[in-house]
Amino acid sequence: MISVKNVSKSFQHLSLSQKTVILQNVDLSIPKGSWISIVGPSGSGKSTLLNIISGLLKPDTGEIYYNDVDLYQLHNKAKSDFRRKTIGFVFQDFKLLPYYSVVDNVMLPLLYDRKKKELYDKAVTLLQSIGIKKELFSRLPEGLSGGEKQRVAIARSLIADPDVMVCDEPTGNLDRENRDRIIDLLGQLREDGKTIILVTHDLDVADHGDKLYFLKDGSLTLGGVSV
Amino acid sequence: MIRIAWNRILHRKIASITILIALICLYVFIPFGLQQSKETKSTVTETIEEFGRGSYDMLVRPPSSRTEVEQTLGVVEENYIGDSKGGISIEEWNEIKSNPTIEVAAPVASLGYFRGKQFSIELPILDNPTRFTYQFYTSDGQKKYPIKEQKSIMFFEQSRPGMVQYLTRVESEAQYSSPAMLIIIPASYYLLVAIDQESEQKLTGIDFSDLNKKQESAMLKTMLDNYGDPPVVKVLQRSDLTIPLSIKLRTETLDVELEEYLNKLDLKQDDWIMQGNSSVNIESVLKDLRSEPIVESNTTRVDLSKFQKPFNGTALKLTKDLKPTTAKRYSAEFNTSVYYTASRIEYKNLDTIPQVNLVENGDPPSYKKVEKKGESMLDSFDIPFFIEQVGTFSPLTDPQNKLAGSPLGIYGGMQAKTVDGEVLTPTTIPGSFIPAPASGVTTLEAAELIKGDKPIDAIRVKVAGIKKYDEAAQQKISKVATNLLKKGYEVDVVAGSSFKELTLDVEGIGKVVEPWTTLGVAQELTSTWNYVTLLTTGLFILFSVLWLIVRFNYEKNILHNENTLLYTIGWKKSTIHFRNCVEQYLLITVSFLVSLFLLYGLEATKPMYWITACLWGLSLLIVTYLLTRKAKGKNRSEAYKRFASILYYKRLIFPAMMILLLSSLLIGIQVSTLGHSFQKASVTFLGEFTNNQTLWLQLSILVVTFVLGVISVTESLNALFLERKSEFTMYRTIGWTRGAVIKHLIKEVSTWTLSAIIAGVVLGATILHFLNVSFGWIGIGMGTTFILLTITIYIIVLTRKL
Repeated sequence: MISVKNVSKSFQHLSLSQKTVILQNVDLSIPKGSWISIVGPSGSGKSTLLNIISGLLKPDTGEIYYNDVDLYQLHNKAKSDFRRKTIGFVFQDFKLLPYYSVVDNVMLPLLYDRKKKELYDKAVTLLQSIGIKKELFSRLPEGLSGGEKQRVAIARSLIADPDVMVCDEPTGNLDRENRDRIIDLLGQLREDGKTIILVTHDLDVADHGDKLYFLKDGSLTLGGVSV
Repeated sequence: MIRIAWNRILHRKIASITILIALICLYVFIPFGLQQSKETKSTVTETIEEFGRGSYDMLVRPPSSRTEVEQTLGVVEENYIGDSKGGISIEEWNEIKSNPTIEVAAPVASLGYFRGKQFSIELPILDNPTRFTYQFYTSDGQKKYPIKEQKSIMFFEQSRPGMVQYLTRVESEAQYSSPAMLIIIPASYYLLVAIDQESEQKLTGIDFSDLNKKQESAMLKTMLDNYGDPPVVKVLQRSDLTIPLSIKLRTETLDVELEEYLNKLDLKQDDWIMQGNSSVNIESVLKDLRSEPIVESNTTRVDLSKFQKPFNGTALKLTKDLKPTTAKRYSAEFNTSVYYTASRIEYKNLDTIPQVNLVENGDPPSYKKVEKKGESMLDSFDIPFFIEQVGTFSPLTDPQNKLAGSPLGIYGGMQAKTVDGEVLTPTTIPGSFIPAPASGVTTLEAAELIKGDKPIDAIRVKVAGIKKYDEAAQQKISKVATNLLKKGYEVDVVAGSSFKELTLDVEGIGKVVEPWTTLGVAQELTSTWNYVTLLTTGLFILFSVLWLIVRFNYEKNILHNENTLLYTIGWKKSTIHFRNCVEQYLLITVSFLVSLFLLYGLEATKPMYWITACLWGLSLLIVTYLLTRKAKGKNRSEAYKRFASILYYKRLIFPAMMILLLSSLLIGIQVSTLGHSFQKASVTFLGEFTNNQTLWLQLSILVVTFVLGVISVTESLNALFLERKSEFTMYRTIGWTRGAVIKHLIKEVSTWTLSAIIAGVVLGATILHFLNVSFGWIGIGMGTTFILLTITIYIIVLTRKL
């Protein structure tokens, strides 16, 4: 269970004297093994909320709990460890290292934690499980299609076997066919017990979640009803 | 277009600022470094012009005069003036002297080791019968050597005033008449050199007019009368020399009666016991005396050095407590017509530490073949000459004269020392390895008398019409030297020579450091600094050009994605190139203008502004060429198995590696060559003085080099890290700790930075090796470079905000 309690965040622009409020008193409960989708217009604070939930951006007020753990009470190293082992990230632009091969990119999060051989085997299994052909394993990300890149990114997010998948516009750069494959993959992961938090513009994608939230003017509403 | 370019500059604030700083450093430090280098060279030249000439310009010697050590090492001992063989006649000298291009031609003829008259020491009259046993010693500063054998005098009593009863074994009856216990101080032999007083005075400024004095003492007159009026060799004695001479004296009080020993020698009570020398009992009596019980014994050593001079001494008297004082009554010895010549030292092992071997291991040991010459007045009435000291001379002691050495000079006062710092001196006996200065000078006529018709060993020539030792002067000297060479003389241009310390391995003593003279130091110093200046200039220019190429190539590489995007949205290639160039033109020109202000603040000279302007122009040209050049290369699809990030980012990393390599080369070569040249110069006095004059200039060149190297490395690394910023953010996002990111970064950065530095260091060391820089300085230069750049890199990596 992930609990977002009374989270607010605003940014001070250097050129402006006023603060821009991004999130205001946001509360959210995400049960384990559920898929929640958050939609909203550009600049509404979707990515900010994701960053806060992931422990990357400290909120001005409020707390984030993973079960009983207050994420922002952890010191930096523990927070990094927690993030690496508990949260898997999927980004719109894939964020694959351009100079590493497909398999090395998948291994990246745990590169300094586990034995390389063991990690390699796991990466290969993951890649095969999400339908990446073996001949692509040694390729650079540049040589993959958008859908392949995102599947590799998902494999990377799964390498540490996390409980939570944080997906920031995972289908934003994909065509319809690839988008559907990624949605299927995420659905599969939910069935495997992963909690999925997905931010998107695409209502078709968002509809696949258990719950759909709208973020507008810093406030979060459930299916149009304020939560 | 300018607005677009300006906006991009502002958008990439940190990248723009670092490149601005780097360009400003380049535009300010390169001209500054070049200027400092030029000033160093000028200072060296001026120093040499002012102090490098020395007292004369060339040394003219008879053919085949050069020694092996001179030919091999290019150095000569101080005061070394050959082996008294001569070879140039007075007529030949007159011919050289009359040449209008020659200002002074001062001849030197080494005559050998001569002595003056010796005086006596009177022993004290004590209260009890006492046996005086004495031994004279000379010293080389380290050891004492006995002169002749130990002797004894037995004092019995003073029977009445003027009647001192003492007994000693003597060969000659002439000794009987002494009313006091007088012992003659042994003869000391010192180097006598013939000069022409007029030209010598011109050359040295020393007054030798006393050589004209007619000073014949009454004693000398008597001697001349007795010996058939032989020629008198008038000598001026060097005033500041002392003679290493001492006497060890043992006094033994004996319980003996005069009467008893008079009886043993069959003498009467009123007889003088010295008469017993002719007695048949003398040996048994002396034996009896030796077996007499000693009541009291005392040994003392009296230093006589300050009382003795090379060609004239002082008669001394010992007080009852055995202290020396000047004496009124004395005995003297005039046997001055015996002298010695000594061969040159044969130095062995010239490849490493020159070795000096013993020729005769006597007391004191001799390192030269010594030949006795002349005729003793004790053996013959037909003696060749009398030596008469008629005055003194003092060498000038201007410290600046020490900068320029005068090889084969005769006045040098530098000290030879053991490696422990003990000062060594020549003994009073010929044969020492220490090149002593001329202790006395005499006339060329005397030289002809002693050595024959070609007495001159060397002529020191000063060329006319030279005010400072510059290139024109060197040419003038060279011309005169060539003319003399054509006449068959051996000619060495010695202007610009200077002293250097040479370590010798002397048999029986060990390592000895001696001042020698290096020929042509000024020329060597000039050429060394010309070479260092040329190298510095070359390195700075090479560094600037390559840095600009590498840096702007890097800019071109990071523009690749943007260029593709602009081309995709319909920009023409020429417009894209123009946009890219304008941005760099702006950065270059802003840096140039700021540099001009800084140069103005640093009170830069006109050439420095010109250098900066040239660098600015060069930067514009390089930018235009690089940013408008067609891009080459294909995209790779397979990942690299090893060094993936380095090889993938090679377009960014290789330029940074080039900058590191260049910086390593620049710093390493500068430190090594400056250090090497500095050390090389410092072995001579002139070089050391030159070093002191240029120390700050050299240090500022080094600082400039360090700053340029460090700034360029910092800038290129910063630019690279900025380019990959999103990558480092991603590491944190996926849960890497800062430590893990740093570890990862250090691993990657160490691989390519250390490779570049090591490549630079190895390349630099190879270049330096071919430039004959010593291994020590190569090590220091390259070690400093490696440490400095490695520290800089790790500071940049470890302080990154990740």
